Amino acid sequence: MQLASVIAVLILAATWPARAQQPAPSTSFTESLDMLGAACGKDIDTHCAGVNLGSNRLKNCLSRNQATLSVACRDTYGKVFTLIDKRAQARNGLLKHCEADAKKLCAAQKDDGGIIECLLSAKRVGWRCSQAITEANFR
Amino acid sequence: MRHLRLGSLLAASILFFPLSSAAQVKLPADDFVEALRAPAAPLEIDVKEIHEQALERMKKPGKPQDRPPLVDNLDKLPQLTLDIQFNSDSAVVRPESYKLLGRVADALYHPHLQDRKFLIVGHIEAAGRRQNNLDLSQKRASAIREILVTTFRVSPQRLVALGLGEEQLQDRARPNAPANRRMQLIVIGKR
Repeated sequence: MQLASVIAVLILAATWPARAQQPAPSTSFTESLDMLGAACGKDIDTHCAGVNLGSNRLKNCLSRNQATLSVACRDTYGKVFTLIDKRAQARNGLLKHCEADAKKLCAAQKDDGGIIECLLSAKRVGWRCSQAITEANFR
Repeated sequence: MRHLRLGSLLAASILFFPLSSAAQVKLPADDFVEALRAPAAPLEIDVKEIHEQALERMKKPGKPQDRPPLVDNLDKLPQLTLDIQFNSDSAVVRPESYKLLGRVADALYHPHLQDRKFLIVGHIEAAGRRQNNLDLSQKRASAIREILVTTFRVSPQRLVALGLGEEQLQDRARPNAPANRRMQLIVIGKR
C-alpha cells in the first residue's frame, strides 16, 4: 500500500535532475556561421588568410593565434564550433532517439520528412524522443 | 490506501509519458528548401569522365560563345545558384560567405531534403587560361563539399563535386561577365 507511493517518489527523485535540465533547442547553422563571420572576419583575414573552413583547419588556426585575436573573435569562435557540433548531433541523432515512437506511430510514412512531421504532430511521444525533437529545433 | 496506490501509479505513468499535443504540424521551410524539394528524375554524374571530355574539347580551338554545354539536362533539375565568395585564384571561402554556407547546410539538413543527393558545380568566367579555370572550379566545388562533410557532417554519399570551368557558361554571349562566376547546388537524385 505504501510501497507503491514510495516507488513513485523514488522514480520521481531518480528522474528529476534529467527533467529539471531543459533540453536546449540547437542553434541553426545559418545563425552560428553568421556569428563566426561577423566576430572573426577581420581576424581571419589578418591571421588565417589562406586557411579554409573544414577539417578543423580554421578552428586550429584561430586557436594557435588566440593571444592576438580581437576580444569579440576570441570570445566567439569556440562557442560557434560547439554550436555547430551540437546542431549536427541533434539533427543526425533525432530518428535514432525516436525509433520506437516512429515505428509505433509513423509506420505509414515513406520518408524522413514525413516521419518527422508525423512525430511533431503526434499526441504522445516518449520522453527521450520529445527531448530530441526539442534539441533538433524545427522552428 | 487504495487511492494512494492508484494515484502514485498514475503520477508515475504521466511522468514517463508526457502528453505532447499538437495539431497536424507542417515543417517550416525557407526559400532554399522550396527551390530544392520539387521531385526530379535522378541524373548519373561521372566526374572523371566529364573532366576528360572537357580536356578533349580544349584540344580544339574555339570561342566560348560557340561552345555547347558540356553536361546536358542540368538546367531541368531543382537547383540553387550560390554567390560564394572565394579568395582570389583560390578555393578558400571568404568569411563574408560563411553565413551562406550555413544556409546551405541548414537546407541539406531539412527533413524534406534529408534523402536527396546533390551536385555542387563550380563555374568561372572565361578570363585567363581555360585549363586553369577548369582546375580552379573543380577545387572550389571540392572545397565546398569538404566543408559540408567535415564541418557540418553531411554524409559524403550525398554530395558530388564537379568543376565545369568555362565549359558551361550561364551567359555565353558575354563570356567574361561576372555572372558566369558562380556555384550551383543541384538535386541529382535520392540516396
